[in-house]
Amino acid sequence: MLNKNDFSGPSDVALAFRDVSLNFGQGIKSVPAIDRVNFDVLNGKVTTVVGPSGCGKTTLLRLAAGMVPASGGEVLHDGARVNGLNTRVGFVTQDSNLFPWLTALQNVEFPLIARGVPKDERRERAHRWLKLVGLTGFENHYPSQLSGGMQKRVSIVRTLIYEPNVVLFDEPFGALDAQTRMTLHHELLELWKQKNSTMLFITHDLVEAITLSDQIIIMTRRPGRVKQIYQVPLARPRNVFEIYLEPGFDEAYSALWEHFKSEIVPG
Amino acid sequence: MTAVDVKPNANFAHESIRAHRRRANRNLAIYVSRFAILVAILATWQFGVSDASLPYFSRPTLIAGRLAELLSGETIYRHIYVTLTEIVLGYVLGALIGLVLGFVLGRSPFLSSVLQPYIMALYSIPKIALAPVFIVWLGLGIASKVAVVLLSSFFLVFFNTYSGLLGVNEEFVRLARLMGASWTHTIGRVVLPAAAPQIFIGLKTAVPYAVIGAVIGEYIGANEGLGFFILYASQTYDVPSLFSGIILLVCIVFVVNVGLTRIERRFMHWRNLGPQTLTF
Repeated sequence: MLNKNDFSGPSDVALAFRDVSLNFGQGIKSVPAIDRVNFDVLNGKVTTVVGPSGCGKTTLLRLAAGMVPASGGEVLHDGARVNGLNTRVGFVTQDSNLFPWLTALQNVEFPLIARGVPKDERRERAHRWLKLVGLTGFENHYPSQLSGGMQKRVSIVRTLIYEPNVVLFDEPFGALDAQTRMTLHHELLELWKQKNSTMLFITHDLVEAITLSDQIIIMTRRPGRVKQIYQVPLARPRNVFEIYLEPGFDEAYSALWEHFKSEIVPG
Repeated sequence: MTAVDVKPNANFAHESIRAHRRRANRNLAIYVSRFAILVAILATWQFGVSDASLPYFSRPTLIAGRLAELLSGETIYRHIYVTLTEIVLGYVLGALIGLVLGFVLGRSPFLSSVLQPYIMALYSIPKIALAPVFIVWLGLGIASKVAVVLLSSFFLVFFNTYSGLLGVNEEFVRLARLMGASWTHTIGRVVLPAAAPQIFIGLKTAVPYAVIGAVIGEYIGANEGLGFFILYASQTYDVPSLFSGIILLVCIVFVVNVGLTRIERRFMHWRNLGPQTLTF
């Protein structure tokens, strides 16, 4: 059977980074953060960017969301240049960033209200999505009354509920304990499969990258450049709880580590 | 099997009832102690004042009698009405201007830089020192006191609104916009609630200043109002009336604060949820 991925035409590309550069500061003091980055985020796939800290991974997401303009090159979303705030993407930030004055249900409803979804429909959708991540019964809890993992679930649901064309994830699971993280990997992949969403995920954790992705972009140290684009050979569905036992994991890890280590080991 | 399941729950419920009782007992102890202190103060006052110093200090019973007498008459209500009007008008106007200006400057670094020296200059003037100016401009009536109250309450609301806005997590704003919220939606549903705790601090701390503004304004020049009443009582050595006026002022501050706290609770119940964080 043919893999659609092998013939990726323009219509398969959700986000395209074309020679994207970004400098911090102006004039002589200007410091390049990322330098001529090129890669594609394919529709319905999970693409992960890995790289050492400070390589500008988060900057890539901000560029895709239109929160900062590129100094050079362009980001294309469905072929159109991202210019100003890109409300077709969803952004799951490092911290959950839930509105503390709203309940879990109200937080999840927020983007639907903002997008003018009628009340009955948004109630129904909010309940359905909270149920998907096992938060039925916690609708009326405030964020401060939820555990870190639950807050993260609400934060992800708040973004996925309006079905953005591409979902950007900025190391969302970094602060969670290992068990919660695995559970959330599992839930995220389930949601991804059900909704057929397109994801661009940032992490510095190679195992997380292998677990989730179809394609991994390895970045260099600052200024961040694309060092290597790696296609993850692991079959789906994957058992995230025993990802080490999945055929191909060891090879994938060694290959990634080979590229990665020279970027974090000094000299 | 059900019995086994129920047992730990029953224990848990028992435990929570006990904790509840302990808390209730502690609260009772607090109220009893507070009341005891009040009784001690009043008793010391009542029995500690000698007959010779009675004209200066009066006695709680005498003051209570005078207060009852005043409240059954008519003139005191006119004084209360005048002072309350000054406080309410001045406070509402001052708070509104403070809110709007705090909001605008909080969102506009340019305007806040431009206006900063003027605001600091105005702030550094003791508001009381301006009372005579207002009396010259606006006369002995209500208007001059409203102006003093306005200025006294404005700054606290303004500064707290301003710093509340600067403290708003910008990530919230960006996320809301990314989720599709318009600017008005973002301001109303994100920026305002995020700054609300600080804004309420301003609104609440401004109340006593508003009352002080009205009373001092009346001390300086007025022919009615509680401040005028107190000053008149002082000048005629009518100590029971003097204290009665002060008690009425305290009551006004108390009632306004209770009202504001109610409003605050309504808006910010999410802040007082208690330590019931779940862990899984």
